This record gives sequence, C-alpha cells and structure tokens, in this order.
Amino acid sequence: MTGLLRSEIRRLASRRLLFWLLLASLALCSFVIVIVAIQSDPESFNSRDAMRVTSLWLTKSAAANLGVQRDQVISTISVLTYLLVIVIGASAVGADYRAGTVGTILTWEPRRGRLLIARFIATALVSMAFFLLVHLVFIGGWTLASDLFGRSGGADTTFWGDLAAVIGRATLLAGVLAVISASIATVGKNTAAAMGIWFGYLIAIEAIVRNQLKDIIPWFITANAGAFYSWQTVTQSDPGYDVSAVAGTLRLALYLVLFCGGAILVFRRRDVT
Amino acid sequence: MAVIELAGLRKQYQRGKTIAIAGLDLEVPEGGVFGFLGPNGSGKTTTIRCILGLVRPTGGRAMMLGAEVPQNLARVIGRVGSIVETPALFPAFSARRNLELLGRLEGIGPKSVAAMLERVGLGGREDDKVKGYSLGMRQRLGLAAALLKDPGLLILDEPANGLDPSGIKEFRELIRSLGAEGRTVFVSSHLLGEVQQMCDRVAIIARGRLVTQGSVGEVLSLGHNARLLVRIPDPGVATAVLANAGIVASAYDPVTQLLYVDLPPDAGARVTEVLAREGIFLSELRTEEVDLETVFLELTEGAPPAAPPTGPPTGPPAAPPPAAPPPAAPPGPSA
Repeated sequence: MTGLLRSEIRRLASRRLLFWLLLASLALCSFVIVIVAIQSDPESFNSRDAMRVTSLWLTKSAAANLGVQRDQVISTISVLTYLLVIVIGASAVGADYRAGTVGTILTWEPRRGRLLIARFIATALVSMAFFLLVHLVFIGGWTLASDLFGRSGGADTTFWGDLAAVIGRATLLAGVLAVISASIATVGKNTAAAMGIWFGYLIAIEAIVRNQLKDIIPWFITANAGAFYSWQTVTQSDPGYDVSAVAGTLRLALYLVLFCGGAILVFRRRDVT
Repeated sequence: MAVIELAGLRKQYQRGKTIAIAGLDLEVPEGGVFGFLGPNGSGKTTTIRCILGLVRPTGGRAMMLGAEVPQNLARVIGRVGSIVETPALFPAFSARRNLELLGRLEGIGPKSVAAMLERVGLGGREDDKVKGYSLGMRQRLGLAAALLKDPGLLILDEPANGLDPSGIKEFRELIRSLGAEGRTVFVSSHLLGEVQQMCDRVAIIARGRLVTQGSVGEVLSLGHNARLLVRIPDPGVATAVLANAGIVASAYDPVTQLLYVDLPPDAGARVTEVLAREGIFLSELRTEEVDLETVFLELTEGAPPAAPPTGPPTGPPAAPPPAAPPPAAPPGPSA
C-alpha cells in the first residue's frame, strides 16, 4: 500500500493544474492583503478601518472582550480555496480517465478497492497540503501587513489557539470535500461531470429550491460544513434550522463514507475499456 | 504447463445483445512467442482485457500462471507485463516520470527505469513529455512499461502499431529475444507476416471463438494444398492439354501469366512432360507459397481452401486480372 500511496501522491503533486491553482491562490491572497493594507488606517477610531491581525478569526466572545466587531476574514479565503479543492479532487480521478491511464495502473495493481482507497487518501493529503499552504501564506502575509500598516493588538495565545483550531478543522474539511469530489468523478469518469454535479447541487438544491426543502436543510453539505468549520451551532431563523458542530461532523463523516463506498462499489464492478 | 488457459470464456455486453467472446478455449504453453490472431472485432482485445482483469467475463474460466483470474490476479500480476491497445500514459509527464510512477508500485527504482528506456530506444528522449511522442515512440514506451517488471509473461496487444519498418524489425528481434530468454510472449497482431516470422505458435479466433491453434507449421498446413504455378504464354491450349492428361488447371492469372495447376509440389515433372509432349514449353514452374495470411483469410472468412474451378477450360478468354489471388478461372484454348 505504501508504494501505491507514494506513487499516487507523487502523481497528484506533479500535476500542472495543482501548480497553477497554487500560483493563482497565492496571487489572490497577495492581492487581498495589498488592497486591505493600502486602505488600512491604523489611527482611525473605527476598528474596521484598520487592518487588524485579529480580523482573521474572532469568535463572538473574543470580539466582545476586545470591544471590536466580529471579523472572520480567513473564512472567505477558505470558501474560495474549497472551490479549488473540489476541482483538484475531481481532476485527480478525471485526468486518469481522460488519459486512459486507469487501465495501465490496473495492470500493475489489479485490486481495485485498494487502488481507489490509496487514490482517495492521496487526494485528501494533497488537497489538505494545498489548502494549508494557501492559508498559512495568507495568515503570514496578513499578520505581517497588519504589523506594518494596521494593528496587531489582541493577538494573544487564545487568539492563535482559536485560529490554529479553525485552520485544523478547515484543512480536514478540505480533505473531505476533495475526496467526495474524487468519488463523484470516479462514478462519472470525468472531471467536468463531477464539477457539474457539484455546482448543480450547490446552485439548484442549496440555493434555488432550498425554501421548498426546508426540512432537509440541516442535511445540506454547506450547513454541516459551516457547523464543523466554526465548531458552533449554525442557526438560521428563516427558514429555521440549526446544526450543531457534532451533528455537522457526523453528517459529513456519513457523506464521506457513502460517497467513497459508492465509488468503490461502482469501480470494482466496472469494465475498464 | 500452460501460462494462460481459457475454458469457455464468454463476454457479453448490453445484457447479451453483443457477444464479444463466445466460449473461447485457449491454451498458451510456457516459453516462446505465441501469436493471437483474429479479424477486427473478433474478440482479441476483449480476451486480453478479461485475462488482465480489466473486463469481467460473463462466463467460463480463465487461468494465468496457475491462478484463476480475475479473482487471484493480484497474486501473479507482478510477473505479467502488458500493453493493451495504444499504451496509455500521462501525456503531461515525461517518459521517465511515467515509468517511475509505475515502478514505485513494485518497488522498482530509477536505475531500472533508465536502463529500460535505453533498451527500447528512448534514451535521450526520456525527459520529453509523452504528449510530444509519436505513436511509435509511445509504443516503445508502452513496451518499456511492460518490461519494467522483468515479467515471465508478456501480453502485448497490437504492439507494433505505429512503428516504422525499421521499428517493426527491431521490435520483432526484441520479441524473439524475449521468447528465447525463456519468457512467454503472448502477442496479438494484424501484421500476419510479422507473426509468421516471430511466433512459435499461433491461435486464430473469429467471432469470439477459437478457429484453430497450434505451431505455425501446423496452422499453415490447414490452408489449401500448395499448387504448382506454371508460367506459359498460351494458357488456353495448355489447360486443354493438361485436362486431356487428367490434370486440372483451376485458375489463371493473366497479369503474372501464371496457370494454377492442382497438383502437389512434387508432381512438377509430370506437368513438364505432358506439356513438352505437345510442344508447349513453359518458362517457369514453381510451388505456390501458402502463408499465414492466406490461411488466416481462409479460416476467418470461410473462404474455400482453394480457388474453385469455374467451368471447363474451354470457356471464354480470361476476365480482367484480379487484384489478388485467387486468380480467375483459366481460359479456353485459343483458336
């Protein structure tokens, strides 16, 4: 399994797509930091006018203690990075089908379940590394820019601890989303099909018909991902629902198992022609 | 010992609407080069895919290196190298990177990869991206991938596709040398001349069934009996003379001016004697060569074993020459 996993990780890490997405992400992070730093006014009475280290991730209680408004800049970067991670996950499998290499690899490792599990693990690890790198660069750049052009007060050990915890969970979530994406691509044998299903679901189910599906909103991926990410109960009044952090975690785990299991089942039975 | 053994292997698609393999029985002995022949759509590639576990058979039994496949394929796959159709490798990666990724699966290091690339003639181009490779270069790379495991059994599906004549010659020599090393090379090909030159044994399949298998000599003997070819300026008279002596001339090719005489190769003296007695002198007498292509076509297209005589040798003059044998019926005697 180690050789297989190493081979898969190396294959994914060598992909040009990963390189270009990383470059684009880092460019976007730099752009955001530069824009905010240019507009920052550290002397302003309004805390929002100044670039602050603590804007990265402030819980409600921490914001109250500091007497500033609650900001969670890092979550915006996370949402954008999740979209990229979904692409990375889908193309990790889709590219294999496009090149026809799935047959070649099976003549070296015919145990399909084993191959797919290794591929999913590799996809998760590479996606998590990608996500973490983007976030670490952003946090580093934001902190430095806040020191130079804004305010660095309030960034105590509690703040850094909270931030580390959210980045840890966010990185895990990136792995989960990438693997779900790879599972869909395995069934659809195509990157575009997986992307279509993802965005079709997000637009058609989660956005357009959400009011007609009020009862199942707590089962929506974004609601559960939000609860897991923030480790807080996500509550909304209209339509009314709430998803606790634990429920969100369990549902995400359930989705992960269902998607992976389904993909393995299909892949094991499929003729590779 | 048979390295590949198929018993009643079946593969149906679309719930039985399409039958790709219809109960194929095949036995590939250990060592040497085994040719696997069949027309397009006869089930060659599907058979290979079944053996390699890429496609699930719908019936029958397949054994490879003593293990039932696909159930126990993992036990023996380390001793099997293969190319299935055009080798599929990652186009954006170099040849070296592609082979290193595959090699990692079996713990094969970069040194072996470099040596293998050199062996198949890709030394110097190993760091080029595969998408820039010609079809022939991809075939070589596929062969390198298949040989990387140092396999005892090589399964090659149309491996010479896209190779130029010198590449085909090199490839033939490589395959022969692999067979001579004690490996078993199972090769499907449309290049019948090549197969005849490099294979020890062959199997011919058609419509998903085995037509015949055996040594190349045995399979060649299944073709029509070789005839005598007589080059003669006036085939009409000669045909009549031969007929009077009880010898049948079944066809005439006006392009080559060859008369096909239905006698075994050792009866040439009788033909010369009969013709000379009537003052007819031939300019050439030789035995018709029966090659694998002829036998293949006869066996797979249901063609009769020889060109049928189409009437008495007193018929009208020969029709325009055919593009290929069988030649036309012989003409009648000229006035």
